[in-house]
Amino acid sequence: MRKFNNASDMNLILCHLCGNACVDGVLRCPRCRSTLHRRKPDSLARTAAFFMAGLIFYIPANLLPMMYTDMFGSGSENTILSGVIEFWESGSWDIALLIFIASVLVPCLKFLVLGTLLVTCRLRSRWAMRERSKLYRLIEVIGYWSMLDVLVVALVAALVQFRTLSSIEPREGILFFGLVVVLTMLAAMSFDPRLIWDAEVEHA
Amino acid sequence: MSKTSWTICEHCDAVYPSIFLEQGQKTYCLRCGSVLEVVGRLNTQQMLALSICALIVFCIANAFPVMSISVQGLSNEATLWQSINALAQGQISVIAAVAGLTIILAPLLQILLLCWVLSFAVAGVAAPGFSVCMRALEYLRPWSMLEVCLLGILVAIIKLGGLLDVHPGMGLWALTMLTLLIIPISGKSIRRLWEEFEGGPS
Amino acid sequence: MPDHQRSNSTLSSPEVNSRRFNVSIVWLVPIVAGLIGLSMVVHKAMSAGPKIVVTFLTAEGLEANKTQVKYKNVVIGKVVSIALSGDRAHVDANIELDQSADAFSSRGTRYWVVRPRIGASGVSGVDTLLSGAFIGADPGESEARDKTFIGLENPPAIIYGKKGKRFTLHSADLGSLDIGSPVYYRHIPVGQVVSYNLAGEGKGVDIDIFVNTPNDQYVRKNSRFWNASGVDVSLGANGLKVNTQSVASILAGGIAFIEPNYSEDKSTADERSEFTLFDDMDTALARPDGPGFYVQMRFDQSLRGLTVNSPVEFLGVNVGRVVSVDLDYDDKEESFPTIIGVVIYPNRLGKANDKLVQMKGADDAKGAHLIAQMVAHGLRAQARSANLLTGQLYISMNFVSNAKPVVFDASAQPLLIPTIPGSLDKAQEQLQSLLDKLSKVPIDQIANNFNGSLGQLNKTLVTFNGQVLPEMHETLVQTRKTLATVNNSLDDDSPQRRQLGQAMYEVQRTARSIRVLTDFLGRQPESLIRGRLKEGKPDAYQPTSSGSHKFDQE
Repeated sequence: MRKFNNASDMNLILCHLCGNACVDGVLRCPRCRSTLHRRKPDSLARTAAFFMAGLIFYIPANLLPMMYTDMFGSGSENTILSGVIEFWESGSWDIALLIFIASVLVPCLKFLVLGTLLVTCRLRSRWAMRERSKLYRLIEVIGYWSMLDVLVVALVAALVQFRTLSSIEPREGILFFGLVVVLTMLAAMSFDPRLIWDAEVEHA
Repeated sequence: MSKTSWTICEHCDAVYPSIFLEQGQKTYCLRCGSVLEVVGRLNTQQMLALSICALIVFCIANAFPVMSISVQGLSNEATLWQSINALAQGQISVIAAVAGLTIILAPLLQILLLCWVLSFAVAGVAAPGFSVCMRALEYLRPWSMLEVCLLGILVAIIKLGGLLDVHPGMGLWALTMLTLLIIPISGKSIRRLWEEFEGGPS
Repeated sequence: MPDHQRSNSTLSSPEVNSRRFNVSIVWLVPIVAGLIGLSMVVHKAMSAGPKIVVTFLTAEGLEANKTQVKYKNVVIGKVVSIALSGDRAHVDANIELDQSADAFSSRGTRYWVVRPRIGASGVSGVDTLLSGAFIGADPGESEARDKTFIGLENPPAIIYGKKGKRFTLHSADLGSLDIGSPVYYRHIPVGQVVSYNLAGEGKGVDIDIFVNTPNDQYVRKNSRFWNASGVDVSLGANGLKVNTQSVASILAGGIAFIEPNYSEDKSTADERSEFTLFDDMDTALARPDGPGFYVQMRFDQSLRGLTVNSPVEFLGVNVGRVVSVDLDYDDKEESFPTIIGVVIYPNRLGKANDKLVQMKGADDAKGAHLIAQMVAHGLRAQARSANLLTGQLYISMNFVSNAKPVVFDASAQPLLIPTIPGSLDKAQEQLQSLLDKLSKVPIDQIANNFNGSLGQLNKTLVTFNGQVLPEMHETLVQTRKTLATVNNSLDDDSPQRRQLGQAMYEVQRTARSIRVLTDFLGRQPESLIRGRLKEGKPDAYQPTSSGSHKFDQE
């Protein structure tokens, strides 16, 4: 295991805004004047809070209907899963797969990864640190794709507005789902990935 | 620079000595594998050109409808703003605000700020409120979701295409162009402006 | 960003290109984008047509930025915004017309809202139920341009520059007609009612109709118009007649016209000619009747079924009608004869009238003389039944072969035509005799006998019901009880079985004890005398042999 220099050893702090390596002890980054933090403040606590909130909202997001479709007289309310199933059964399995990935798989993955990260960092575990880091980067990248469903509903509801013939309206489920996406994004943003490696630092 | 400058990995806090990078080169952290530094292929002037273009294209993308549908002689069309409005009903207006932020407000602010900062940067000076603008850009970056919007429109086209006649509108092409333009200019390569105007007026 | 420069001491430093404007080629991208955007904006501005404001009473069915303006089903504009007028009495619709629709901003253009409508001409605009209302337009002719228009609340009757002729009809009242009521020629709709208003001094109604080209050529100078609304059901002397033009005319009223076939004039009517609107087809096509000739008739029987306008026939030809039915009092005979007033139109006799006029001249005195001659020959009037079902009567004038001669006063004013009783009376007589025969049948006696038999039957049944049945019923009940008891006794846990079982058990025990006793006695016969010894108790015996084992076990 090659030896890495850690910022804390060398009394350096990374400025999160401009990427400058600043000398520890200074309150503000000399370049961009933003407050310096060694680690994101209250990282685990905030991440856990957003995580729990997102988890709580995920239940109504899945149970409550997302939109109300009235096509040529027959109205039906659709939740995320029922929409996926409907697409699957009507033959367009590619759309069903896409929506399933974006609205079910990605949020669940985020919950799983964030939960794992929270637990392992709290326990100061040294297990699979590089992999965990990769996982974190993964959810950073794919996190915002869950907004797909919200935007699809917005678009479709705006278009299909023929009063008597057919109309589509959004329902409360979409609010909760959007909040879930926002909360998980905030959770991922509050999490400081350097905490993963702090275990190694302390053990080293 | 007289003293050694360091590069710190933002994912694992490892410290490396800074090395000069050509355009288009990337460095990776050895410990955690994340990207340390990327130098974009565009210089300031090119970025400014693309930003102005993005501004124009943004206006087109929002002024013209992205999609129109027709059934039995009835037709309807929607711009991005109208789609956001469709969500703003009653109790769920919050989600309309969120969606509006991600596909209209954040990209617009990004483009405006970029134009502002870059236009001064091309002239060689730091724009007034430089650090505020740069900071805002950093905060706005994760909330600009134009690619998701594009994919969402495609999904909506396919979803409605089975039942009704769907015609992509001018707004969709403009949105595609906008997404392609925004990717290079809204990345972290803007951070190099900090180096140029180090210690400028805050 | 300054280019990276490698400086080598052996080479002279290259010339630094420090041009201020180092414009890179990427600037083409925004320039192209700007041009595209600009061209689209310009294109939009150029293709904008005139902007007008149309006022309506209500904005029902109109939507800002959505409702379209259509002419002949082609979209020529769109409603941009809707606002209340300043005095809140109207709605102002701001409309942007297409460039090609410049003609629609000319003065005199009419705008109206097309909504689903059920009106005189049928149901229209149903497709707007699905698509939302739109605004219809009819361009004006003027050269001047206007910016504001007042929208109509109903679609105008004539639109799209239809060609045709307008005519005016006079009628006593409007009946069931309305704007849009169709006009028919031989059952084909060829036009519609455009407007109506009260005639001068309110003594009638003037109805304006519009007949389309090319059918307006069929409106001749002598065409007759009649009101063909609804279903023409006439229950006249000729029977039931149902006549209708179309379903639409049932709902919305209608006018029909045709040229009478006895008139040879084929010239077409001029624009805005005037006609009279008759009430029905027969009245309309009737020949001009000419002068009427009033006569009276006197009947001694009841004329129920004879009404005003009942027909009067002469030898089968309708020559006139009844105009009054009155009762008179005859003092001498103390009866109430009926006096009928009749108007006869000699013209209806056709050729006969023409010849008679030729031979005898055409004045009243001569006419009276003619009638006197006919009466002498046997001309009598008779009230006949036109329709047994409805009991309607008509007056028939015929030459009767053996009529009683009557005195005929040819100079009386009015003339009194002699009458004879009608054929209905004979039928009445026959009916009467039938009824008399029927009344002679001794129905009473038959009824009484029948009644007596029924009474006997009734008594029998009562006895049967009252006595026999209850006894049978009781017998049945008893039988059932007996069976139940037997059932109980034979039942498994019935007391009898139990007792029987107990008795058997007792017998068994007795048998056993006797067996014990005999065995005991067999072994100790002296116990009979000595009694039982203590050791002699059966249960105190020590088992000495296998036989006594059985004892202990018992």
